[in-house]
Amino acid sequence: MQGRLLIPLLLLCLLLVTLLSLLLGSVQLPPADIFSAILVREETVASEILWDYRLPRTLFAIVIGAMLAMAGAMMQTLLRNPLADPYILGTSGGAAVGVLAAFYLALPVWFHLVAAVGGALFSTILLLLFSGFIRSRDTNRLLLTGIVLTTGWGALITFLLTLSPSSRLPGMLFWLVGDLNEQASLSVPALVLLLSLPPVLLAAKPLDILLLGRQQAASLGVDVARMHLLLLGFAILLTATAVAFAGPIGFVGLVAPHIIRLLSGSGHRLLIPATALLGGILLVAADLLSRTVVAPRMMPAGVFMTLLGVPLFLYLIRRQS
Amino acid sequence: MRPLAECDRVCLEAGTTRLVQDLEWELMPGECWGILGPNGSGKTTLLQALAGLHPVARGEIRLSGNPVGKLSRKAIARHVGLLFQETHYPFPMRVRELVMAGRYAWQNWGGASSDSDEEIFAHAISVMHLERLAERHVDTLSGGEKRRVALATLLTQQAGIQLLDEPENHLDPGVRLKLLEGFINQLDSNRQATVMVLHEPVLAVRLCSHLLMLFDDGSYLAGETDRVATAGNMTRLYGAPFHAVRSGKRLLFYSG
Repeated sequence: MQGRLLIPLLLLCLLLVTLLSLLLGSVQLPPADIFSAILVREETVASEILWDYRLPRTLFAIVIGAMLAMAGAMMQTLLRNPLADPYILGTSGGAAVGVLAAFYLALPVWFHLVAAVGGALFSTILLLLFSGFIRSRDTNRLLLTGIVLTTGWGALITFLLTLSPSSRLPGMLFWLVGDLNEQASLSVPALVLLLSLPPVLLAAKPLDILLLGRQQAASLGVDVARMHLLLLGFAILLTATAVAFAGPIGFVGLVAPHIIRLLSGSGHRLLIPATALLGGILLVAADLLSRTVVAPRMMPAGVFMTLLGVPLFLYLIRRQS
Repeated sequence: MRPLAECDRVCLEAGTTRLVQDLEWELMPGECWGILGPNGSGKTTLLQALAGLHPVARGEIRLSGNPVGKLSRKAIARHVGLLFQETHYPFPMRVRELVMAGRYAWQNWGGASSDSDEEIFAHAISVMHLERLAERHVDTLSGGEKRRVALATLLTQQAGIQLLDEPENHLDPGVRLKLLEGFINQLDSNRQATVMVLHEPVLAVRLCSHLLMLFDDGSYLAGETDRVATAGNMTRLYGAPFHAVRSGKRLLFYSG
Protein backbone atom coordinates (compact mmCIF):
# COMPACT_ATOMS: atom_id res chain seq x y z
CA MET A 1 0.00 0.00 0.00
CA GLN A 2 1.19 3.51 -0.77
CA GLY A 3 2.40 5.73 2.06
CA ARG A 4 0.06 8.56 1.23
CA LEU A 5 -2.81 6.14 1.77
CA LEU A 6 -1.52 4.20 4.76
CA ILE A 7 -0.81 7.09 7.13
CA PRO A 8 -4.19 8.82 6.69
CA LEU A 9 -5.90 5.46 7.07
CA LEU A 10 -4.07 4.78 10.32
CA LEU A 11 -4.85 8.28 11.57
CA LEU A 12 -8.51 7.67 10.83
CA CYS A 13 -8.41 4.36 12.73
CA LEU A 14 -6.68 6.08 15.62
CA LEU A 15 -9.35 8.76 15.70
CA LEU A 16 -12.14 6.18 15.64
CA VAL A 17 -10.66 4.02 18.36
CA THR A 18 -9.94 7.11 20.46
CA LEU A 19 -13.54 8.21 20.10
CA LEU A 20 -14.73 4.76 21.13
CA SER A 21 -12.36 4.81 24.06
CA LEU A 22 -13.90 8.11 25.18
CA LEU A 23 -17.48 6.88 24.71
CA LEU A 24 -17.18 3.46 26.34
CA GLY A 25 -15.90 2.34 29.69
CA SER A 26 -16.61 0.49 32.90
CA VAL A 27 -19.14 3.19 33.74
CA GLN A 28 -21.82 3.52 31.06
CA LEU A 29 -22.58 7.07 30.04
CA PRO A 30 -25.01 8.21 27.36
CA PRO A 31 -23.04 9.35 24.27
CA ALA A 32 -24.93 12.64 24.33
CA ASP A 33 -23.45 13.45 27.75
CA ILE A 34 -19.97 12.68 26.48
CA PHE A 35 -20.37 14.87 23.39
CA SER A 36 -21.72 17.73 25.43
CA ALA A 37 -18.79 17.29 27.82
CA ILE A 38 -16.41 17.51 24.85
CA LEU A 39 -18.01 20.70 23.63
CA VAL A 40 -18.68 22.54 26.88
CA ARG A 41 -16.69 22.24 30.05
CA GLU A 42 -19.12 21.85 32.87
CA GLU A 43 -18.86 20.30 36.30
CA THR A 44 -20.79 17.14 35.43
CA VAL A 45 -19.98 13.50 36.14
CA ALA A 46 -19.59 12.88 32.44
CA SER A 47 -17.20 15.78 32.11
CA GLU A 48 -15.13 14.59 35.03
CA ILE A 49 -14.93 11.02 33.71
CA LEU A 50 -14.06 12.27 30.24
CA TRP A 51 -11.47 14.92 31.02
CA ASP A 52 -9.88 13.52 34.15
CA TYR A 53 -10.10 9.85 33.41
CA ARG A 54 -10.82 8.57 29.91
CA LEU A 55 -8.96 11.18 27.83
CA PRO A 56 -5.66 11.08 29.75
CA ARG A 57 -5.84 7.30 29.86
CA THR A 58 -6.44 7.09 26.11
CA LEU A 59 -3.60 9.49 25.31
CA PHE A 60 -1.35 7.54 27.63
CA ALA A 61 -2.24 4.28 25.83
CA ILE A 62 -1.48 5.89 22.45
CA VAL A 63 1.95 7.07 23.57
CA ILE A 64 2.92 3.81 25.29
CA GLY A 65 1.68 1.72 22.37
CA ALA A 66 3.60 3.85 19.91
CA MET A 67 6.80 3.53 21.95
CA LEU A 68 6.56 -0.24 22.29
CA ALA A 69 5.75 -0.71 18.62
CA MET A 70 8.66 1.49 17.54
CA ALA A 71 11.05 -0.31 19.87
CA GLY A 72 9.94 -3.63 18.37
CA ALA A 73 10.48 -2.46 14.80
CA MET A 74 13.95 -1.17 15.71
CA MET A 75 14.95 -4.42 17.46
CA GLN A 76 13.83 -6.32 14.37
CA THR A 77 15.98 -4.19 12.11
CA LEU A 78 18.93 -4.42 14.50
CA LEU A 79 18.79 -8.20 14.69
CA ARG A 80 17.45 -8.67 11.15
CA ASN A 81 14.73 -10.90 12.47
CA PRO A 82 10.97 -10.29 12.42
CA LEU A 83 10.65 -12.27 15.67
CA ALA A 84 12.78 -9.88 17.71
CA ASP A 85 10.80 -7.98 20.32
CA PRO A 86 11.91 -6.32 23.56
CA TYR A 87 9.41 -8.42 25.50
CA ILE A 88 10.52 -11.77 24.11
CA LEU A 89 14.23 -10.96 24.26
CA GLY A 90 14.16 -10.03 27.94
CA THR A 91 14.67 -6.28 27.59
CA SER A 92 11.27 -5.55 29.13
CA GLY A 93 11.91 -8.08 31.89
CA GLY A 94 15.22 -6.45 32.80
CA ALA A 95 13.52 -3.07 32.92
CA ALA A 96 10.70 -4.52 35.04
CA VAL A 97 13.13 -5.94 37.58
CA GLY A 98 14.81 -2.54 37.76
CA VAL A 99 11.48 -0.82 38.40
CA LEU A 100 10.35 -3.38 40.99
CA ALA A 101 13.68 -3.06 42.78
CA ALA A 102 13.11 0.68 42.87
CA PHE A 103 9.56 0.04 44.18
CA TYR A 104 10.96 -2.31 46.81
CA LEU A 105 13.65 0.09 47.96
CA ALA A 106 10.98 2.83 48.06
CA LEU A 107 13.06 5.02 45.78
CA PRO A 108 11.47 8.22 44.41
CA VAL A 109 9.25 7.80 41.33
CA TRP A 110 11.63 9.54 38.92
CA PHE A 111 14.18 6.87 39.78
CA HIS A 112 11.88 4.20 38.29
CA LEU A 113 12.85 5.41 34.83
CA VAL A 114 16.56 5.32 35.60
CA ALA A 115 16.21 1.82 37.06
CA ALA A 116 14.22 0.69 34.03
CA VAL A 117 16.88 1.98 31.60
CA GLY A 118 19.58 0.32 33.69
CA GLY A 119 17.74 -3.00 33.78
CA ALA A 120 16.95 -2.93 30.04
CA LEU A 121 20.55 -2.06 29.17
CA PHE A 122 21.92 -4.78 31.42
CA SER A 123 19.57 -7.39 29.98
CA THR A 124 20.46 -6.43 26.40
CA ILE A 125 24.18 -6.67 27.15
CA LEU A 126 23.64 -10.13 28.66
CA LEU A 127 21.60 -11.12 25.61
CA LEU A 128 24.24 -10.08 23.08
CA LEU A 129 27.05 -11.54 25.17
CA PHE A 130 25.56 -14.96 25.80
CA SER A 131 23.78 -15.50 22.49
CA GLY A 132 27.00 -14.77 20.61
CA PHE A 133 24.71 -13.10 18.10
CA ILE A 134 27.15 -10.44 16.96
CA ARG A 135 29.54 -13.12 15.73
CA SER A 136 27.35 -16.04 14.78
CA ARG A 137 24.08 -14.39 13.69
CA ASP A 138 22.35 -17.51 15.00
CA THR A 139 18.70 -16.58 15.44
CA ASN A 140 17.71 -19.72 17.33
CA ARG A 141 20.38 -19.13 19.93
CA LEU A 142 19.32 -15.51 20.23
CA LEU A 143 15.68 -16.38 20.85
CA LEU A 144 16.60 -19.14 23.29
CA THR A 145 18.89 -16.82 25.22
CA GLY A 146 16.16 -14.17 25.26
CA ILE A 147 13.57 -16.62 26.54
CA VAL A 148 15.93 -17.87 29.26
CA LEU A 149 16.65 -14.28 30.30
CA THR A 150 12.92 -13.52 30.38
CA THR A 151 12.40 -16.57 32.60
CA GLY A 152 15.21 -15.44 34.86
CA TRP A 153 13.77 -11.95 35.16
CA GLY A 154 10.39 -13.56 35.90
CA ALA A 155 11.89 -15.46 38.83
CA LEU A 156 13.51 -12.29 40.16
CA ILE A 157 10.19 -10.50 39.83
CA THR A 158 8.45 -13.21 41.89
CA PHE A 159 11.29 -12.97 44.41
CA LEU A 160 10.86 -9.22 44.77
CA LEU A 161 7.08 -9.51 44.98
CA THR A 162 7.34 -12.13 47.72
CA LEU A 163 9.58 -9.89 49.76
CA SER A 164 7.40 -6.81 49.36
CA PRO A 165 4.88 -5.74 52.01
CA SER A 166 1.40 -6.97 51.16
CA SER A 167 -0.05 -3.47 51.21
CA ARG A 168 1.94 -2.55 48.08
CA LEU A 169 1.37 -5.83 46.26
CA PRO A 170 -1.84 -5.07 44.32
CA GLY A 171 -0.32 -1.91 42.83
CA MET A 172 2.88 -3.71 41.91
CA LEU A 173 1.00 -6.61 40.36
CA PHE A 174 -1.24 -4.40 38.28
CA TRP A 175 1.73 -2.40 37.09
CA LEU A 176 3.42 -5.68 36.18
CA VAL A 177 0.72 -7.02 33.87
CA GLY A 178 0.37 -3.75 32.02
CA ASP A 179 -2.02 -1.43 33.71
CA LEU A 180 -2.72 1.93 32.15
CA ASN A 181 -4.04 3.57 35.30
CA GLU A 182 -0.89 5.62 35.76
CA GLN A 183 -2.36 8.53 33.81
CA ALA A 184 -0.76 11.39 35.64
CA SER A 185 2.59 10.88 33.97
CA LEU A 186 1.90 11.42 30.29
CA SER A 187 4.51 14.12 29.75
CA VAL A 188 7.72 12.10 30.21
CA PRO A 189 6.76 9.21 27.89
CA ALA A 190 5.43 11.68 25.32
CA LEU A 191 8.69 13.62 25.46
CA VAL A 192 10.80 10.48 25.02
CA LEU A 193 8.65 9.42 22.06
CA LEU A 194 8.92 12.81 20.37
CA LEU A 195 12.67 12.93 20.92
CA SER A 196 13.17 9.45 19.48
CA LEU A 197 11.26 9.96 16.24
CA PRO A 198 13.46 12.51 14.39
CA PRO A 199 16.84 10.72 14.68
CA VAL A 200 15.33 7.39 13.67
CA LEU A 201 13.43 8.94 10.74
CA LEU A 202 16.53 10.80 9.56
CA ALA A 203 18.36 7.49 9.43
CA ALA A 204 15.56 5.80 7.45
CA LYS A 205 17.68 5.22 4.35
CA PRO A 206 20.73 3.62 5.99
CA LEU A 207 18.38 1.57 8.17
CA ASP A 208 16.71 0.19 5.03
CA ILE A 209 20.11 -0.83 3.71
CA LEU A 210 21.03 -2.36 7.07
CA LEU A 211 18.32 -4.98 6.44
CA LEU A 212 20.62 -6.45 3.78
CA GLY A 213 23.09 -7.48 6.47
CA ARG A 214 26.06 -5.86 8.13
CA GLN A 215 28.71 -6.61 5.53
CA GLN A 216 26.48 -5.74 2.60
CA ALA A 217 25.34 -2.50 4.24
CA ALA A 218 28.93 -1.50 5.02
CA SER A 219 29.98 -2.17 1.43
CA LEU A 220 27.19 0.16 0.26
CA GLY A 221 28.53 2.94 2.50
CA VAL A 222 26.51 2.60 5.72
CA ASP A 223 28.27 3.30 9.01
CA VAL A 224 27.00 0.09 10.59
CA ALA A 225 28.35 0.61 14.10
CA ARG A 226 26.66 4.01 14.32
CA MET A 227 23.34 2.64 13.10
CA HIS A 228 23.49 -0.25 15.58
CA LEU A 229 24.18 2.17 18.41
CA LEU A 230 21.26 4.34 17.31
CA LEU A 231 18.87 1.39 17.13
CA LEU A 232 20.00 -0.19 20.36
CA GLY A 233 20.06 3.09 22.26
CA PHE A 234 16.59 4.22 21.26
CA ALA A 235 15.03 0.74 21.46
CA ILE A 236 16.28 0.47 25.04
CA LEU A 237 15.20 4.00 25.95
CA LEU A 238 11.71 3.53 24.47
CA THR A 239 11.20 0.11 26.03
CA ALA A 240 12.48 1.19 29.43
CA THR A 241 10.31 4.31 29.49
CA ALA A 242 7.21 2.40 28.48
CA VAL A 243 7.91 -0.27 31.11
CA ALA A 244 8.65 2.25 33.84
CA PHE A 245 5.32 4.00 33.29
CA ALA A 246 2.98 1.25 32.10
CA GLY A 247 4.58 -2.04 33.07
CA PRO A 248 5.96 -4.68 30.72
CA ILE A 249 3.24 -4.91 28.07
CA GLY A 250 4.20 -7.56 25.56
CA PHE A 251 3.74 -8.19 21.85
CA VAL A 252 2.84 -4.64 20.67
CA GLY A 253 6.36 -4.52 19.25
CA LEU A 254 5.80 -7.80 17.47
CA VAL A 255 2.29 -7.35 16.10
CA ALA A 256 2.37 -3.74 14.88
CA PRO A 257 5.53 -3.84 12.71
CA HIS A 258 4.47 -7.19 11.28
CA ILE A 259 1.15 -5.84 10.04
CA ILE A 260 2.75 -2.69 8.62
CA ARG A 261 5.39 -4.70 6.75
CA LEU A 262 2.64 -6.82 5.21
CA LEU A 263 0.82 -3.67 4.08
CA SER A 264 3.65 -1.48 2.85
CA GLY A 265 7.02 -3.23 2.92
CA SER A 266 10.07 -2.64 5.03
CA GLY A 267 11.08 0.95 4.18
CA HIS A 268 11.74 2.73 7.48
CA ARG A 269 10.54 6.14 6.33
CA LEU A 270 7.03 4.69 6.39
CA LEU A 271 7.52 1.73 8.70
CA ILE A 272 8.52 3.75 11.76
CA PRO A 273 5.67 6.32 11.84
CA ALA A 274 3.08 3.80 10.65
CA THR A 275 4.18 1.25 13.23
CA ALA A 276 4.02 3.89 15.96
CA LEU A 277 0.48 4.82 14.93
CA LEU A 278 -0.63 1.20 14.79
CA GLY A 279 0.96 0.52 18.18
CA GLY A 280 -1.12 3.37 19.59
CA ILE A 281 -4.28 2.01 17.96
CA LEU A 282 -3.63 -1.51 19.24
CA LEU A 283 -3.01 -0.47 22.81
CA VAL A 284 -6.04 1.83 22.94
CA ALA A 285 -8.12 -1.04 21.57
CA ALA A 286 -6.65 -3.48 24.09
CA ASP A 287 -7.29 -1.02 26.88
CA LEU A 288 -10.83 -0.48 25.66
CA LEU A 289 -11.45 -4.23 25.75
CA SER A 290 -9.94 -4.43 29.20
CA ARG A 291 -12.35 -1.79 30.46
CA THR A 292 -15.51 -3.10 28.81
CA VAL A 293 -15.39 -6.88 28.40
CA VAL A 294 -15.60 -7.70 32.10
CA ALA A 295 -17.18 -4.38 33.15
CA PRO A 296 -17.60 -3.09 35.76
CA ARG A 297 -14.38 -4.92 36.67
CA MET A 298 -11.24 -4.05 34.76
CA MET A 299 -8.54 -6.18 33.30
CA PRO A 300 -5.01 -4.92 32.60
CA ALA A 301 -4.49 -4.05 28.93
CA GLY A 302 -1.37 -6.22 28.79
CA VAL A 303 -3.52 -9.33 29.07
CA PHE A 304 -5.36 -8.62 25.83
CA MET A 305 -2.22 -7.61 24.00
CA THR A 306 -0.60 -10.90 24.96
CA LEU A 307 -3.67 -12.90 23.94
CA LEU A 308 -3.40 -11.26 20.52
CA GLY A 309 0.38 -11.59 20.28
CA VAL A 310 0.91 -15.22 21.20
CA PRO A 311 -0.92 -16.75 18.19
CA LEU A 312 0.88 -14.38 15.82
CA PHE A 313 4.24 -15.26 17.33
CA LEU A 314 3.52 -18.98 16.95
CA TYR A 315 2.51 -18.40 13.35
CA LEU A 316 5.71 -16.44 12.64
CA ILE A 317 7.90 -19.14 14.17
CA ARG A 318 6.20 -21.73 12.01
CA ARG A 319 6.69 -19.69 8.89
CA GLN A 320 10.32 -18.88 9.60
CA SER A 321 11.49 -22.45 10.06
CA MET B 1 47.43 7.26 -14.65
CA ARG B 2 47.09 6.62 -10.92
CA PRO B 3 46.30 3.11 -9.70
CA LEU B 4 42.77 2.64 -8.35
CA ALA B 5 44.05 0.30 -5.67
CA GLU B 6 47.48 -0.65 -4.36
CA CYS B 7 48.49 -3.44 -2.02
CA ASP B 8 51.75 -2.58 -0.26
CA ARG B 9 53.31 -5.71 1.28
CA VAL B 10 49.86 -6.86 2.40
CA CYS B 11 49.56 -9.94 4.62
CA LEU B 12 46.14 -11.39 5.37
CA GLU B 13 45.01 -13.72 8.10
CA ALA B 14 41.67 -15.35 8.90
CA GLY B 15 41.62 -16.18 12.59
CA THR B 16 44.98 -17.86 13.12
CA THR B 17 45.31 -19.07 9.52
CA ARG B 18 47.87 -17.21 7.44
CA LEU B 19 46.64 -16.42 3.96
CA VAL B 20 48.42 -14.45 1.23
CA GLN B 21 51.76 -12.95 2.35
CA ASP B 22 53.57 -9.80 1.24
CA LEU B 23 51.25 -9.07 -1.66
CA GLU B 24 52.50 -6.32 -3.96
CA TRP B 25 49.78 -5.52 -6.44
CA GLU B 26 48.30 -2.60 -8.37
CA LEU B 27 44.97 -2.19 -10.08
CA MET B 28 44.81 0.26 -12.98
CA PRO B 29 41.67 1.67 -14.63
CA GLY B 30 40.34 -0.46 -17.46
CA GLU B 31 41.84 -3.68 -16.11
CA CYS B 32 39.87 -6.80 -15.32
CA TRP B 33 41.52 -9.12 -12.85
CA GLY B 34 40.54 -12.68 -12.07
CA ILE B 35 41.58 -14.10 -8.71
CA LEU B 36 42.12 -17.85 -8.83
CA GLY B 37 43.12 -20.23 -6.08
CA PRO B 38 42.14 -23.34 -4.18
CA ASN B 39 39.52 -23.21 -1.40
CA GLY B 40 40.79 -21.39 1.66
CA SER B 41 43.59 -19.55 -0.14
CA GLY B 42 42.14 -16.16 0.83
CA LYS B 43 40.37 -15.04 -2.35
CA THR B 44 37.24 -13.78 -0.58
CA THR B 45 39.29 -12.36 2.30
CA LEU B 46 41.34 -10.33 -0.17
CA LEU B 47 38.19 -8.88 -1.74
CA GLN B 48 36.84 -7.99 1.70
CA ALA B 49 40.15 -6.39 2.69
CA LEU B 50 40.03 -4.27 -0.48
CA ALA B 51 36.52 -3.16 0.55
CA GLY B 52 37.72 -2.31 4.06
CA LEU B 53 35.64 -5.12 5.57
CA HIS B 54 38.57 -7.25 6.73
CA PRO B 55 41.64 -5.85 8.47
CA VAL B 56 45.09 -6.49 7.01
CA ALA B 57 47.52 -8.27 9.35
CA ARG B 58 50.43 -6.27 7.95
CA GLY B 59 51.04 -3.85 5.12
CA GLU B 60 48.67 -1.28 3.66
CA ILE B 61 45.90 -1.10 1.10
CA ARG B 62 45.42 2.25 -0.63
CA LEU B 63 42.44 3.33 -2.72
CA SER B 64 43.40 6.08 -5.19
CA GLY B 65 46.32 6.79 -2.88
CA ASN B 66 44.32 6.92 0.39
CA PRO B 67 44.90 4.28 3.05
CA VAL B 68 41.64 2.35 3.28
CA GLY B 69 41.54 2.59 7.09
CA LYS B 70 41.47 6.40 6.93
CA LEU B 71 38.41 6.60 4.68
CA SER B 72 34.80 6.77 5.89
CA ARG B 73 32.43 3.96 4.92
CA LYS B 74 30.73 6.24 2.42
CA ALA B 75 34.03 7.24 0.82
CA ILE B 76 35.09 3.60 0.55
CA ALA B 77 31.74 2.77 -1.06
CA ARG B 78 32.43 5.38 -3.75
CA HIS B 79 35.80 3.71 -4.44
CA VAL B 80 34.80 0.07 -4.07
CA GLY B 81 31.63 -1.93 -4.65
CA LEU B 82 31.36 -5.59 -3.68
CA LEU B 83 29.16 -8.37 -4.98
CA PHE B 84 28.90 -10.95 -2.20
CA GLN B 85 28.88 -14.69 -2.78
CA GLU B 86 25.41 -15.04 -1.34
CA THR B 87 22.71 -12.60 -0.29
CA HIS B 88 19.88 -13.17 2.14
CA TYR B 89 16.74 -11.05 2.55
CA PRO B 90 14.75 -11.70 5.75
CA PHE B 91 12.30 -8.83 5.14
CA PRO B 92 10.11 -8.07 2.14
CA MET B 93 11.89 -5.69 -0.23
CA ARG B 94 11.28 -4.63 -3.79
CA VAL B 95 13.85 -4.94 -6.57
CA ARG B 96 13.67 -1.18 -7.08
CA GLU B 97 14.54 -0.43 -3.43
CA LEU B 98 17.43 -2.86 -3.52
CA VAL B 99 18.93 -1.57 -6.76
CA MET B 100 18.53 2.03 -5.57
CA ALA B 101 20.48 1.17 -2.39
CA GLY B 102 23.57 1.42 -4.58
CA ARG B 103 23.02 5.19 -4.76
CA TYR B 104 23.36 5.65 -0.98
CA ALA B 105 27.08 6.36 -1.10
CA TRP B 106 26.44 9.34 -3.39
CA GLN B 107 23.48 10.82 -1.54
CA ASN B 108 23.60 13.44 1.18
CA TRP B 109 21.68 13.39 4.47
CA GLY B 110 18.24 13.90 3.01
CA GLY B 111 18.81 11.01 0.65
CA ALA B 112 16.12 12.02 -1.82
CA SER B 113 16.42 10.43 -5.24
CA SER B 114 17.45 12.94 -7.89
CA ASP B 115 16.76 12.74 -11.64
CA SER B 116 20.22 11.38 -12.36
CA ASP B 117 19.60 8.63 -9.79
CA GLU B 118 16.57 7.60 -11.82
CA GLU B 119 18.63 7.54 -15.03
CA ILE B 120 21.36 5.47 -13.41
CA PHE B 121 18.72 3.12 -12.07
CA ALA B 122 17.09 2.70 -15.48
CA HIS B 123 20.47 2.00 -17.08
CA ALA B 124 21.42 -0.63 -14.48
CA ILE B 125 18.04 -2.31 -14.81
CA SER B 126 18.35 -2.52 -18.58
CA VAL B 127 21.94 -3.85 -18.55
CA MET B 128 20.82 -6.66 -16.25
CA HIS B 129 17.52 -7.22 -18.13
CA LEU B 130 15.40 -6.58 -15.03
CA GLU B 131 12.84 -4.17 -16.51
CA ARG B 132 9.95 -6.53 -15.93
CA LEU B 133 10.99 -7.37 -12.38
CA ALA B 134 11.53 -3.87 -10.96
CA GLU B 135 8.40 -3.83 -8.79
CA ARG B 136 8.63 -7.45 -7.70
CA HIS B 137 9.56 -8.53 -4.16
CA VAL B 138 13.06 -9.95 -4.03
CA ASP B 139 12.02 -13.07 -2.13
CA THR B 140 9.83 -14.12 -5.07
CA LEU B 141 12.81 -14.18 -7.47
CA SER B 142 14.91 -17.15 -8.53
CA GLY B 143 18.58 -17.46 -7.57
CA GLY B 144 19.75 -16.22 -10.95
CA GLU B 145 17.35 -13.26 -10.89
CA LYS B 146 18.56 -12.30 -7.40
CA ARG B 147 22.13 -12.43 -8.74
CA ARG B 148 21.21 -10.02 -11.52
CA VAL B 149 19.57 -7.70 -8.96
CA ALA B 150 22.79 -7.72 -6.90
CA LEU B 151 24.83 -6.93 -10.03
CA ALA B 152 22.42 -4.09 -10.88
CA THR B 153 22.91 -2.68 -7.36
CA LEU B 154 26.64 -2.71 -8.00
CA LEU B 155 26.06 -0.82 -11.25
CA THR B 156 24.11 1.97 -9.54
CA GLN B 157 26.86 2.24 -6.93
CA GLN B 158 29.22 3.40 -9.72
CA ALA B 159 32.29 2.66 -7.66
CA GLY B 160 35.73 2.80 -9.25
CA ILE B 161 36.49 -0.80 -8.40
CA GLN B 162 33.99 -3.62 -8.91
CA LEU B 163 34.76 -6.58 -6.69
CA LEU B 164 32.82 -9.68 -7.71
CA ASP B 165 32.90 -12.74 -5.47
CA GLU B 166 32.00 -15.76 -7.61
CA PRO B 167 29.72 -13.71 -9.87
CA GLU B 168 28.77 -16.78 -11.89
CA ASN B 169 26.90 -18.28 -8.88
CA HIS B 170 23.29 -19.15 -9.73
CA LEU B 171 23.65 -17.88 -13.31
CA ASP B 172 22.69 -20.27 -16.10
CA PRO B 173 25.65 -21.47 -18.18
CA GLY B 174 23.92 -20.05 -21.23
CA VAL B 175 23.75 -16.46 -20.00
CA ARG B 176 26.58 -16.10 -17.49
CA LEU B 177 29.21 -15.11 -20.04
CA LYS B 178 26.92 -12.65 -21.79
CA LEU B 179 25.78 -11.07 -18.51
CA LEU B 180 29.27 -10.73 -17.08
CA GLU B 181 30.67 -9.41 -20.36
CA GLY B 182 27.77 -6.97 -20.50
CA PHE B 183 28.63 -5.86 -16.98
CA ILE B 184 32.34 -5.37 -17.71
CA ASN B 185 31.81 -3.73 -21.09
CA GLN B 186 29.60 -0.93 -19.82
CA LEU B 187 32.22 0.19 -17.26
CA ASP B 188 34.19 3.36 -17.94
CA SER B 189 37.71 2.12 -18.73
CA ASN B 190 39.23 5.47 -17.77
CA ARG B 191 37.83 5.35 -14.26
CA GLN B 192 36.71 1.84 -13.43
CA ALA B 193 38.15 -1.65 -13.09
CA THR B 194 36.97 -5.11 -12.09
CA VAL B 195 38.38 -7.76 -9.79
CA MET B 196 36.56 -11.09 -9.65
CA VAL B 197 37.02 -14.29 -7.74
CA LEU B 198 36.31 -17.20 -10.07
CA HIS B 199 36.32 -20.96 -9.71
CA GLU B 200 36.47 -21.73 -13.41
CA PRO B 201 39.87 -21.14 -15.06
CA VAL B 202 38.11 -21.18 -18.42
CA LEU B 203 35.82 -18.31 -17.42
CA ALA B 204 38.76 -16.38 -15.96
CA VAL B 205 40.81 -16.72 -19.14
CA ARG B 206 37.85 -15.66 -21.21
CA LEU B 207 36.85 -12.60 -19.17
CA CYS B 208 39.99 -11.25 -17.51
CA SER B 209 42.89 -9.21 -18.83
CA HIS B 210 44.98 -10.14 -15.79
CA LEU B 211 45.12 -12.99 -13.31
CA LEU B 212 46.14 -13.12 -9.67
CA MET B 213 46.81 -16.65 -8.47
CA LEU B 214 46.80 -17.25 -4.72
CA PHE B 215 48.68 -20.40 -3.77
CA ASP B 216 48.13 -22.58 -0.72
CA ASP B 217 51.41 -21.55 0.90
CA GLY B 218 50.67 -17.80 0.91
CA SER B 219 52.68 -17.03 -2.23
CA TYR B 220 51.08 -15.56 -5.31
CA LEU B 221 51.54 -14.97 -9.00
CA ALA B 222 50.18 -11.93 -10.81
CA GLY B 223 50.31 -10.89 -14.43
CA GLU B 224 48.62 -10.61 -17.78
CA THR B 225 46.35 -13.52 -18.55
CA ASP B 226 48.26 -14.51 -21.71
CA ARG B 227 51.47 -14.77 -19.73
CA VAL B 228 50.36 -16.57 -16.53
CA ALA B 229 47.49 -18.79 -17.76
CA THR B 230 49.52 -21.93 -18.44
CA ALA B 231 48.76 -25.56 -17.72
CA GLY B 232 51.83 -25.65 -15.46
CA ASN B 233 50.61 -22.73 -13.32
CA MET B 234 47.09 -24.17 -13.07
CA THR B 235 48.52 -27.54 -12.00
CA ARG B 236 50.60 -25.89 -9.32
CA LEU B 237 47.67 -23.72 -8.22
CA TYR B 238 45.07 -26.44 -7.77
CA GLY B 239 47.38 -29.34 -6.89
CA ALA B 240 45.89 -31.48 -9.67
CA PRO B 241 47.08 -32.04 -13.24
CA PHE B 242 45.68 -29.51 -15.74
CA HIS B 243 45.95 -29.56 -19.51
CA ALA B 244 45.47 -26.76 -21.99
CA VAL B 245 43.90 -26.99 -25.42
CA ARG B 246 43.53 -24.30 -28.01
CA SER B 247 40.23 -23.96 -29.82
CA GLY B 248 40.49 -21.25 -32.43
CA LYS B 249 41.70 -18.16 -30.58
CA ARG B 250 40.49 -19.51 -27.21
CA LEU B 251 42.49 -21.27 -24.57
CA LEU B 252 40.65 -23.95 -22.62
CA PHE B 253 41.75 -25.82 -19.50
CA TYR B 254 40.61 -29.14 -18.21
CA SER B 255 41.76 -31.21 -15.29
CA GLY B 256 42.43 -34.93 -15.08
